[in-house]
Amino acid sequence: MNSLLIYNNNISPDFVSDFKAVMGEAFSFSITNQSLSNENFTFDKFTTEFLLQNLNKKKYDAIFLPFSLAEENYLEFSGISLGYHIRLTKEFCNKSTPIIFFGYEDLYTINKLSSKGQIFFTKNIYVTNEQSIVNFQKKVLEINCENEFELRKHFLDRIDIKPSVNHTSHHSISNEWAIQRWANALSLDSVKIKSITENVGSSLYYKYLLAKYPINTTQNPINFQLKNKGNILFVDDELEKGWEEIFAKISNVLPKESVSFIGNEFKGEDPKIIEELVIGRVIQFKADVIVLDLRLHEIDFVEGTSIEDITGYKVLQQIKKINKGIQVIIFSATNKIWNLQALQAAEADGFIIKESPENSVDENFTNQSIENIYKIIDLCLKRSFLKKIDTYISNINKLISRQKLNLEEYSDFISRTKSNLEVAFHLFYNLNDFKYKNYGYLQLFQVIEDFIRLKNVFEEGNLSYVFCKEKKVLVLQNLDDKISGSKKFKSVICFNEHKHIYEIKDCESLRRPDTYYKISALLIFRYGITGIGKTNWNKINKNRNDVAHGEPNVIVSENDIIQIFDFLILILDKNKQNDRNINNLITESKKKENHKTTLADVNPALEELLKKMDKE
Amino acid sequence: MKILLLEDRPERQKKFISDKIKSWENIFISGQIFMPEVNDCKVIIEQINNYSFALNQTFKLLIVHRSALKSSGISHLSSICKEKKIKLIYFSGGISQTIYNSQDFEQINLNSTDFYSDLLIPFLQNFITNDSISVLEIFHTEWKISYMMLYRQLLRNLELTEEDYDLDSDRSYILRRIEKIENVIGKMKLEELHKSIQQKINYL
Repeated sequence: MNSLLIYNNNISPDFVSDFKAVMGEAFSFSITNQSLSNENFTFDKFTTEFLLQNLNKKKYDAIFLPFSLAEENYLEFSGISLGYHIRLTKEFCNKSTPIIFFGYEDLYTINKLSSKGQIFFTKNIYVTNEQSIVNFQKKVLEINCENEFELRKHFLDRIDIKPSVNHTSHHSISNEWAIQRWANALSLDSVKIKSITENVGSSLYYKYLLAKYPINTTQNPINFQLKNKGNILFVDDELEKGWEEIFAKISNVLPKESVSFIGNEFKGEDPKIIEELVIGRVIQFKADVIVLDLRLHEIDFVEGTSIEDITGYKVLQQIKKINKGIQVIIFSATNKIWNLQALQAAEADGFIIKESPENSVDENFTNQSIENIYKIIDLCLKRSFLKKIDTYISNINKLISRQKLNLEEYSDFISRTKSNLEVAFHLFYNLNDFKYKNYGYLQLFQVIEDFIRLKNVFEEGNLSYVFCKEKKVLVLQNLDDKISGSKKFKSVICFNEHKHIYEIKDCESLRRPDTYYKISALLIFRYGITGIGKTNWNKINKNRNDVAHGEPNVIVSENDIIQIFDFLILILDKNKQNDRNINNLITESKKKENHKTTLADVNPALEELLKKMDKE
Repeated sequence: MKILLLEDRPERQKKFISDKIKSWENIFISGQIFMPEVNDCKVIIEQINNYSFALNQTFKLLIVHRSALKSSGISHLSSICKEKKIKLIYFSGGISQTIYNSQDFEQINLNSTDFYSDLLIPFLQNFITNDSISVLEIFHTEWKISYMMLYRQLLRNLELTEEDYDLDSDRSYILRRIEKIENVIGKMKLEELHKSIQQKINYL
């Protein structure tokens, strides 16, 4: 016979000798004080090493185990635990070998005292209350040969091994689970990844998961690549467990200086310090996209902790305060919808859900998860353009707010502008749909139109004026002839048909003064710009008209959006006002005056100014 | 002071005591339990880890979160407990199997969920009044069943072991173990033992 007996010091040495003489091999299983004093001691690790070091590669006809292998506390029922390890340790070649448990208890008693009893109700498990060689021999003869595949399936269907109830160790196993799955799908086969899985590989729960949801090695390896560019920061307190390797692989098309990791520094730090470390790195690295692990501190795993108290949530809030356009992808094992909703409300831009054993029931889940990671990171890299948008918006908000004007009209303008900018930001968020980009552009153009309606900027009437600093210049005079009904305007700027821009030149025109005219006048006389083509105003105006009129295939580009923001920064900054063209106009007018022309008829404001200057 | 309780993750303790605050506070009234605040706790753990922890108090029981200790700390605590015959309870979320050992001193390793159970407060109360009780009492209400089953296993195996009067023989080893258990639960014959176990099981 080729049987195996695993025993402890409570089993009669004479019985062990008889077993060896007649039935096969016997090994002592004893956890000493010395073993317990090892920092890394766990029962699962000790048991795995016992099976693999003492018994590796040996196939037995039957294995005999006492219910309890503990020498001092019978109720530990560690013999039963060892039985589960024999069934689930794939490297041990006896996954389906018949196991015969022996002891003086009946199954009713054991099930009343322990939750490990499921194994007794699976095939190829036998129980005997009689500890004798004759009985053991008889038991071996009673064993039925069963189909190995059916046996495994039956065993895995019947048992249900729970993870350790403790939050952190469960977290660790979920982590290792996702790491192993994803590393495999990404064809990562480094020594580090292997050692990571070996670390938890001895855990009974982990062995159970691996047996229940084996990794499908027949699927084609994933071959995605990120298409967009930008700086990505990965934040995870368990980087060294393999996440760093996985994310490095995912982002390997980006230059090295565009990828950064933070997390190893979090060990032993308080949540507040962790927040500061992350925010410091976000600023220093100029991160465009951040993949942020939700739980960065042990305290985050305490059951019942509100989402608002979780470190990753607080970090998310702080990042969004720095710049709403920085894209934050939450990386978490959570599948609680209320947590995801809260994170979305805090402006999380995407989610990567760690693969957990429950998900792995679907064998395509791993590949779909990886595909989703590439997609979400790529989308966020594309959206990181919003970082610039947010910077523009906050600069514009500062510009308009620091002009201390008490006019009610101006405070309305401020609130309208803020609201228009906010709406534009949200419209630009939907980058994949060009309509939203176009609508966002129109929203920004609305700010320009609101601006020229301000009385201290452009005053419109029969005589229309542009304001610059403390001066006002008449730019347009309505020459309507009420008798003949003809409409005519006299202007100090003239449209150059060839260049499609306005230039300083007296002219009469039948064209009504539209936004294009008014802003052109503003550019020339309020900001002292002569070559207004440089400001892109003509292009901005054209874009607006094309978009507003729904021209087919018109999609404003990111460059167009930047141009209109630069333009807004120019016209809304009171410090950019420059009266050089007014002064030129005055000089020109003076010359004309010398030639006996009547400037006062054309430009009373200038006339007034000249008088004032003469007095001074 | 009889008991030193070192918990560096107060949140899980808070959760455990949330529905039994009064009885939890009551066990500290006697002044026999020292449970430092988290920062002081971390200082003590650091001292244990770097061998500078000196046990001046007359503690009879140390209860420590095992994962907070390094290898050096575990070895240091073992030496202290062995030398001063202090009982030791380790709890941790990473412990998947309860392990009890009394070779050099009495110690038990428990999962933190098993530690923070309904048995904790009664155990601490009992220990304050009688420090000779076994740490097994924190593991199971009917911890005596464990002794009785062990006793039965040893008695049956003694029957399977040949007579030998050598003091170092295997038989003598089993006999010494039997004697130790008899000191706790009393001497019983096998039949009587079966009945007692059955009775206790029926009451569970």
